[in-house]
Amino acid sequence: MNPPHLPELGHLLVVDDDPSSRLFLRATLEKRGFAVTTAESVAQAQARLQTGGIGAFDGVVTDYQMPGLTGLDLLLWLHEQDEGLAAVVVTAESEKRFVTDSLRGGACDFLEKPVSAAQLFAAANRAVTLTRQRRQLVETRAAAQEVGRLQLSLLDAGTHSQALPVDLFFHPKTEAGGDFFNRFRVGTDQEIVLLADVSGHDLKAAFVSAYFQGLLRGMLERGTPATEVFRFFNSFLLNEWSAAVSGRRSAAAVATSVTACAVMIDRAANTATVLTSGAPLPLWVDAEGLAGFVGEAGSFPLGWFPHDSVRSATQPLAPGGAFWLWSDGLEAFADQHELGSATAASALMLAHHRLRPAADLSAALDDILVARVGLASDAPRAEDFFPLVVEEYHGGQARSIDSLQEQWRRSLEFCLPQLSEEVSYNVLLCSREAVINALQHGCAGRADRTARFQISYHPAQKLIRAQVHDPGPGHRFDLARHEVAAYEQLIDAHRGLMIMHCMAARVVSARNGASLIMDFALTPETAASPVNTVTKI
Amino acid sequence: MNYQINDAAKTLSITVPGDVLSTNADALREKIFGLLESPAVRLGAWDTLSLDLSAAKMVDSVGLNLLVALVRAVKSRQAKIRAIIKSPNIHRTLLFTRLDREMELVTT
Repeated sequence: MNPPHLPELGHLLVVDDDPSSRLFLRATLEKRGFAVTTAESVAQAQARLQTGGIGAFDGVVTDYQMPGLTGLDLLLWLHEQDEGLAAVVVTAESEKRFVTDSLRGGACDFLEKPVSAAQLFAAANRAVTLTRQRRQLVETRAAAQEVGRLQLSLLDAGTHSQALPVDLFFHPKTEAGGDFFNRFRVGTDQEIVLLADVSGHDLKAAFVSAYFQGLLRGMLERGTPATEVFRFFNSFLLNEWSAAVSGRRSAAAVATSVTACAVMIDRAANTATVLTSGAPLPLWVDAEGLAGFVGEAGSFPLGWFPHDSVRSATQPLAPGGAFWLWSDGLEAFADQHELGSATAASALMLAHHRLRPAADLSAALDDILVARVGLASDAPRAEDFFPLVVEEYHGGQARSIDSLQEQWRRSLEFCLPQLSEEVSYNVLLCSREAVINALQHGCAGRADRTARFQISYHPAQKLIRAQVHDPGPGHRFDLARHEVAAYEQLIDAHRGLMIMHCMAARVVSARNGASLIMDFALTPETAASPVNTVTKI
Repeated sequence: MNYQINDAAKTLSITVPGDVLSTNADALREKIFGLLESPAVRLGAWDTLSLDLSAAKMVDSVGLNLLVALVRAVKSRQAKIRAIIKSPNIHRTLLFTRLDREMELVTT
């Protein structure tokens, strides 16, 4: 065996049973700057590779036809040992038929005898380059996987050991990315939860993500207001980071941007303040299942513009309830399925709790991160309302009721595929009646007046709740008297309310019916039952 | 809209092509009442209107009002009405709103 030395161009294993060919190959390659180890058979080649370690070689040049095992056998064995090691096969004119087999076996190149020095050098060079590229890719992937594993560990750690219960669903698009969720205690009464998304799905995004989180933690612990941290990081991205990435002092293009949403919960003041910079607005779902987006839309991601684009909104805290936060990857996923974001978020969370089969995320375009932050520290995470439909319609949309209803049906089916047809019909028909009433009467059919419509699901109570709130004054209604009039006098009215009162398990109205809540009981068979799913987290 | 009169059974059969909802009830009302008022049907010897709702998957309150209007129209000529229903949900809706007292419900 030839002792390997530090190669300049690479270390090759030459395998040929013919001594003169072996000598020619070795001499030619060494002359061109390669280190060469030779073997006269496949068995000897295997021994050389095992003794020296496959990683010590950058390529193999092997004859095809040899006594005993052939070059193809060596290729197959090599493929099992190290997929990265590239091999060149040398064939005679009569062995051309073996080319296809060799390709399947993993050969990267072929040389036909007689081999010229130039051909041999070029092929050896390609093999060495390919081997190194493959090995670098494997190393990079392993590093990315390690970063991704660490990110998942940090995400998971962020959900434990603090006062607020947090539910987290994360589906990374690649090994490591820029989505993150974290929470920080500030003093004794304040806690900040933050969901952010760094542009890109690579190690650079992961690096910026880690940098931002560290910066945030440090600055918050030293008493810096979160708004100031956002502004500081905006400035950092626009100046230092852009310059570092572009290699210039002023970068015209946006190098990296960060969308972020922070919810600052102040127990002493009993308020929640929402900060957003380009991120989807958080959804607040109260203890009764009424949901509403909090904050002001229209902010820009950090790293886009030098001026302050952070939006802030404060609302009083109500007992119970939860904030739902998600990254824009969730919105892309919802768009793919032509669903509302809340619908998609609930479906993923329900799957996370095994209350629905796992969603197919193979076509997801982005990282998907959804967090549910409960305010009642003792609240079990699955025992809250899940928002299935969160919509606001203007009075002119009554004529589009068929398409609105179809959207509700699709949302119900997506979130609760096991829901019975009977319950689904009850929910859809009663919702239709209530929404038409709200748009035609409560909004007077006007496009400048809007009604809120929502469907939510409470797994523990086994009910679906539909609620409609319109801005009108409502009207007094004596159900018993009107019901009798409807069926005894056969008048053309009141049947919508009769439907609602018969099909819903409970109807609660306020403001003369301008606010209507309908609960639909799920029978034991139709209630979502646990299914076996695994959520990646 | 398909219809036929069976003189032997004294039945006028009308087939509704789909759902009966707020968004199509006016058009259906116009067609069905236009049919009832056409000479061939008005003068026909039928005492039962058989309304085939087999293709319907949903009937809302406006659709129910159309059925009520049909009940009244049919009653005015001393005839009765029969609804042929495939959807159990529509059947329940008609029971809840007590229209089973005004029309015979036949489930298929």
